[in-house]
Amino acid sequence: MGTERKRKLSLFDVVDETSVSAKIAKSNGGGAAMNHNAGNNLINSWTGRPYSQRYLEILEKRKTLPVWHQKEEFLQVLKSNQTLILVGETGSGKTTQIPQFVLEAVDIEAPDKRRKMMIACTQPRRVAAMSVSRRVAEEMDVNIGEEVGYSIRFEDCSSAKTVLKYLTDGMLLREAMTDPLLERYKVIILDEAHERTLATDVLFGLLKEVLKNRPDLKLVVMSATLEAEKFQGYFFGAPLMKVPGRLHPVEIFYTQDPERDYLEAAIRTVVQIHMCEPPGDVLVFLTGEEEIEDACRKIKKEVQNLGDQVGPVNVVPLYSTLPPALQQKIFDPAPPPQQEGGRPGRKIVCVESLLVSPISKASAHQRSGRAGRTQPGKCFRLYTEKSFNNDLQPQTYPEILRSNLANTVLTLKKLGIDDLVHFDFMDPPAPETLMRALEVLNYLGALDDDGNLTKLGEIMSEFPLDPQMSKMLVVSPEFNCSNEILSISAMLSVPNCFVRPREAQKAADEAKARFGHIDGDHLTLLNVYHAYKQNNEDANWCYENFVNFRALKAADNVRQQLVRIMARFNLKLCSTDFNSRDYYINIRKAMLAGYFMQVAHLERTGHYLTVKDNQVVHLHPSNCLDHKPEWVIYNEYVLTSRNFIRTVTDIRGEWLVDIAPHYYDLENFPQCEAKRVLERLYKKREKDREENKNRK
Amino acid sequence: MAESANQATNGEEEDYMGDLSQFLPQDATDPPISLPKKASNNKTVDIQPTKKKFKTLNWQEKRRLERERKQHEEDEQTLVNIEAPIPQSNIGFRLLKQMGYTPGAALGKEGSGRAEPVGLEIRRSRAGIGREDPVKEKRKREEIMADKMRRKEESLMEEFGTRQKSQWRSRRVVVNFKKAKAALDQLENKEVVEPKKNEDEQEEGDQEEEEEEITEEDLQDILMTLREEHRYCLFCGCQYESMEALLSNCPGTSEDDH
Repeated sequence: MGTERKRKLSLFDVVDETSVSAKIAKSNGGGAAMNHNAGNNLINSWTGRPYSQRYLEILEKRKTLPVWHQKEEFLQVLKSNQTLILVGETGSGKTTQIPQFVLEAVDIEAPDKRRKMMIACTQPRRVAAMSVSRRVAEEMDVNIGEEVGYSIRFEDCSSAKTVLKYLTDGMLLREAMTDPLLERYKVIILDEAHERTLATDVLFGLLKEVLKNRPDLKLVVMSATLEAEKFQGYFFGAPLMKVPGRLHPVEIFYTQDPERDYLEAAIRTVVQIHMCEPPGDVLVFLTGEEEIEDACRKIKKEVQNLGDQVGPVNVVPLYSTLPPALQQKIFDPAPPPQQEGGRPGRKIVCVESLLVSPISKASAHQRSGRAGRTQPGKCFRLYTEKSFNNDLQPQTYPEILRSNLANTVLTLKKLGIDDLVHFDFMDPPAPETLMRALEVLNYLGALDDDGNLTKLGEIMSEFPLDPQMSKMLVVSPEFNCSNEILSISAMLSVPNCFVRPREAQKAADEAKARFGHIDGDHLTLLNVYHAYKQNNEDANWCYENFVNFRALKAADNVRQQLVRIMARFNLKLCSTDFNSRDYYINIRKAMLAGYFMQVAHLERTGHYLTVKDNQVVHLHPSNCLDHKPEWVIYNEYVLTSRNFIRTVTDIRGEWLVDIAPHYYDLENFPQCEAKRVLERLYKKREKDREENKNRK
Repeated sequence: MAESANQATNGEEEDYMGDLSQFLPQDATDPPISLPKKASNNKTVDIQPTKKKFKTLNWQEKRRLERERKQHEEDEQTLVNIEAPIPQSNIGFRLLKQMGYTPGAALGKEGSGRAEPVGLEIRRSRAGIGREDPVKEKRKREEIMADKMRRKEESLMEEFGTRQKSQWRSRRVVVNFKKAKAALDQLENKEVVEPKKNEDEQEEGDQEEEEEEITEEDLQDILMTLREEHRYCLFCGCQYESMEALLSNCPGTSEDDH
């Protein structure tokens, strides 16, 4: 390894440009092989083993990618600039190839020569980070998790050997909290920058600062064509390089009239495509888990009804809360014809868009591009051409303008950014959005009244969770129930664990009822977790009890990670005696300590009003309460067919005035029924105190 | 419209309006009728047809409509609550101010940020792009229709008004002409003042003239004759000493001037 390092060291520092280009040309860019002389390039320099046949096969294919034609140009621009913007249309191969080019050309040895620095390539989606890194590991003929790895929330698949790491943008942001100058990286590649996720936008502002302080760090911003000039202006006028996409023509179809029901229209269109169109797979964009599952089921059914006149289909759902292993199913091939010479099969993938709202022109364009990646394609837009021209806004709002920023503000604070007003956001959020975030963090005690990060806030920022949940975890030892709160937090961080197959709904509901805790859904989740552990984490037991095994396995993993963070801050792991009547009371109180801003009060009219902002909400039908409690905490507020609060637990009014009097401060409380109830509770508390005093 | 709708709920007024709408041109009422029409939940729009519809609806449908209406109210309230501004006393407001925020300004290195958060749109249905939420769409449709109806009525009323006005005007012309004629006759035949005979003559003349149809021009002519030859103004009702006196004292030649 030592000699190899020396050779790499010489690449950029000693050898002049022309010979680099010559070398690149000579070695034909064969992965890391360029580190060796010509006769030796059948040996993989990463593993020291000869390249496999598969490697060579893939290499030939890689060389046909458009991005390969500009490899030298790219390396030149990279060498002479700290930042560069690479605009690559869909199908240019930039996501898989650029990081490998960088790895070949850039010296990654750390100054102390004891370790290697890394190349990071961010992805907005977990599944992309996983799948792309797997693919690249294959292309480099190495094992995933060794030289090439990935890191996503609650799952780190990398090692000391790792030199190229694909990670979600959120993970890179997290790493910056402990490594503010991101010193473990030599080159950072922000991929899919046009998606403008919250984490990518924060990374933009952060990296601009880091680049000033680390002249040796390089940044590559990769984006689809959208808004490339905007990026250029933002990144100090960095050079812009364009890579043509290998885009086959895509024919675009519109509907004659606006659709009454887009889901129905999507299903109808898919079935029609399957019946009439030549072989090729279908990608359907929908808005969420429920809709995707619904569509998958209906498409399967409709195709089944058509019988032998059409080929078989493989309908695959893909959404963020789907367990990663199931997400990988999208890479399965289309099913073969049912019999010899039968009609070819087709794969239909139903994916989730990041946003439930009308699409922008730019995103619509981006999506249609997906149809032409491997062959000429067709794009069916379920709206009219007139709508496209008149109703759609040109660009999608970046996430930072649409999101709750409590977590982001906490992260920024932890990163040492105190002036949020003048922080160099590419698209600064509205003042109100930041005010709301600051308010929440102050009430949680993460920020003091001067806006400084408190000790509590620092610990909270270490948890990759919402601030409310972090707070609940940090204070749980005070309520003598941190073990239980850890389990509940883990269960809330994974997809819904209850399985309810259409054909066995009743049995599923009965199974769920067996776990049910009358005081709330959080406690029901705890019951499920306990039962899972008591049954030795058995997959069969899960199946029999209509519980999603993968979700529970994931929860167990999340819990372990959280335990590690707790241990790092010496937070005690403890439980109240299960036979004590305080067992569940302590848990509910601890939850309230984190979620006191997510409380709803039952009004005399029979519906719930959220505290302070007085929104009318309804208990989600999935709740397992046997009564309508006067006060509840809720985990989420969802706007679907109605305004629902989902995952709710009964709490007592007395606890509100005991645990969160600063929030339930009557001077700062709008007139409402809840206020009058609280007034009585405060009076009662006063009286009790008086009595206690007198007794003494 | 609200007013007329209220009126429409009781008795004859309603029939009157109903009849009126029958006279509307066909094309104006056609499109809304051809659209799938559900009973209205909008208070400002014609309650009568809705009521009739309600009678034919079964309880399930009624309940659904009621639910829809409630949901709609809830959503409006939700949006109002979300859009409520943050008071200066709010700790979040104060904290941002401590960071150097000037109330009313935008954020960012160059203060180029958004002033207001991106608005929220509540979509309760799976209506495709270019098609609004059915509830919203229905409301919009009803608003458009109500607007159309109102405008139709207004124009109808206007037409009615002008017709009345012109009728009244032509009647006035006849009356004035008769008066002028009488005055002229009087002035021209001062000696032969025979009221009875005159009346007879007048009646005869009237009949003749009515058959001839008196126009405004005829009236104008006779008025001018009176003025120029007899220094008499019909509307002042007197004979002036001189032309100068007429010109300086009489406000004008027409009835409106008086």
